[in-house]
Amino acid sequence: MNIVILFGTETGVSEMVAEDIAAGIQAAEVTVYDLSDFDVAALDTTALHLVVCSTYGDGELPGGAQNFHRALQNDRPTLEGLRYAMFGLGDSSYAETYSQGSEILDRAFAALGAERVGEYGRFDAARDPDPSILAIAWSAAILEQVLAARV
Amino acid sequence: MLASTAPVADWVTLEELYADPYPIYARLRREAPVAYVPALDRYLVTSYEAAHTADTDHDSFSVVDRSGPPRTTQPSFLNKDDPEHLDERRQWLPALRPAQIKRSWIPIFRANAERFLDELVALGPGADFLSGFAAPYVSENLRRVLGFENATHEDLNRWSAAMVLGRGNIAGDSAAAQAFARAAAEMDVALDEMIAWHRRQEGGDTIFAHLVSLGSEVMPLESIRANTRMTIGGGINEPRDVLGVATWALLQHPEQRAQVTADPALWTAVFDEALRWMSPIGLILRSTTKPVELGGVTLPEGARLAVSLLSANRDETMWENADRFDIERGSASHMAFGKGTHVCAGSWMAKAQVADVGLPAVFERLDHLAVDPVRPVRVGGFVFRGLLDLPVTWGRS
Repeated sequence: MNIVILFGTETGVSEMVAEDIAAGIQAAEVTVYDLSDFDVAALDTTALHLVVCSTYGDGELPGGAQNFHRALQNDRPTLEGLRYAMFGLGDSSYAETYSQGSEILDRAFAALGAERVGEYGRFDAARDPDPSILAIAWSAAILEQVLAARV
Repeated sequence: MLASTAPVADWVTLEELYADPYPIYARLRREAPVAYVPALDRYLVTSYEAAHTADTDHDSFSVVDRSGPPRTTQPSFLNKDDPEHLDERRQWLPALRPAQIKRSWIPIFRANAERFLDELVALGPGADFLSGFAAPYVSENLRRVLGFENATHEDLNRWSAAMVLGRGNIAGDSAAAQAFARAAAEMDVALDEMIAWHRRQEGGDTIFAHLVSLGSEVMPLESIRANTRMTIGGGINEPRDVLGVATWALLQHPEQRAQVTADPALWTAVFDEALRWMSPIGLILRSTTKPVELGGVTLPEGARLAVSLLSANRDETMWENADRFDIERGSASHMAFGKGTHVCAGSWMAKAQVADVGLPAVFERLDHLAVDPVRPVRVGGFVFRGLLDLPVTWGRS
């Protein structure tokens, strides 16, 4: 099984988290892409996608994910069969917009027929000290679940 | 135009704020979390909630001061609103992204920590931890990350001191303004030479190398100069002070020191709690773009605000016994880096050089590190706050 890690970032935290997740996976081939230069036509419906995305401004997508999201909306590729897991980064001191950036992407994936698997991962900058530690544990649980389902 | 309904706190003096702002801030949070302070000629914001709103509601609160005296210098992106702020920030950021810091800079920070601990040890017990280690260590780190090949860490440290004095110069002292102008002129000459030098080089991970790689898309030279001044002003003072405050706090709390030396995963908690307990940037300035409600009072359009991060981070409604240093309290929601679009661009570099490298190196290397019992530690400031010196002793090294 191929694993594709996609990250959407403004300040680079999701980039670090994506690379740290990749470094922690030994059981499969992993490639990491920055959504800021990822073509929606390159989405591979046979691969498991781990999506790491922050929140920016008033609950918006980070700069690095905006073009990708726009392309999903405009091109509307069919994502039937594509399985993805979502890890959102946010700050709960913004009560109304906490972790909303990743949810915008999540809705776009779901609307095109993709299937979200496993638990929705969350990092809260107002509470959790280290996003990578949480994300690595999250990805390990996702992989365990997906691999178990294949047997 | 609506008038202000904010109470006037005419009992607040700059001298008392400099010496010990915390009792003043505690009273203001209780009685008037948004109050007009004549000594500052600004509305002083002291509660966490009001500070958070002022820093994150970008429609109502601007970093551009529309009613104060006109600026005489080009502003850095810290003093621009979006979208101009974001355009320049994105050009500045690649060298400061956490993945880049891990790849390129952590090994350099480690080597610098060893080098400047050697220099501190050579000074002998009784040396000042700040000027003997923290300042040269963070100055050299920043010199490398910026790409200042033609300057020394002493140059950066000297420029930074002048920038900070200039920025903290709320009272308008002319000697501080002149020192700022001299340092800025000296830095501009070195910077112009470096931009030309980097244009002749290939690649590189530094801030300057990335800027020249943008070719004609790069921001104008005047903006590069302004942002370099801002980076040097904020990139030395602040990490130096967090190193000093965190070290001092651990030396006063042997039980917490024992905890963290037994479990290195706790250095991040030490870093966050030091930032909360004594935030190096004490005040940030904002200006209202329209009449607005804040902290239960009405402010007119154009109201000039001083938002106290030092005070927000001691807010009892956020943290119990907020005056106590406690690495177990969960301090990650502190406002020391700011929130919103202007959140500190150097926060991950600060974490890397303080929590990941600097503090562990200091406590591993200097056995029996202690505050020098014969010389007092001095603390000061409210625009910026930190230790003025930290004389330390140690056993083996």
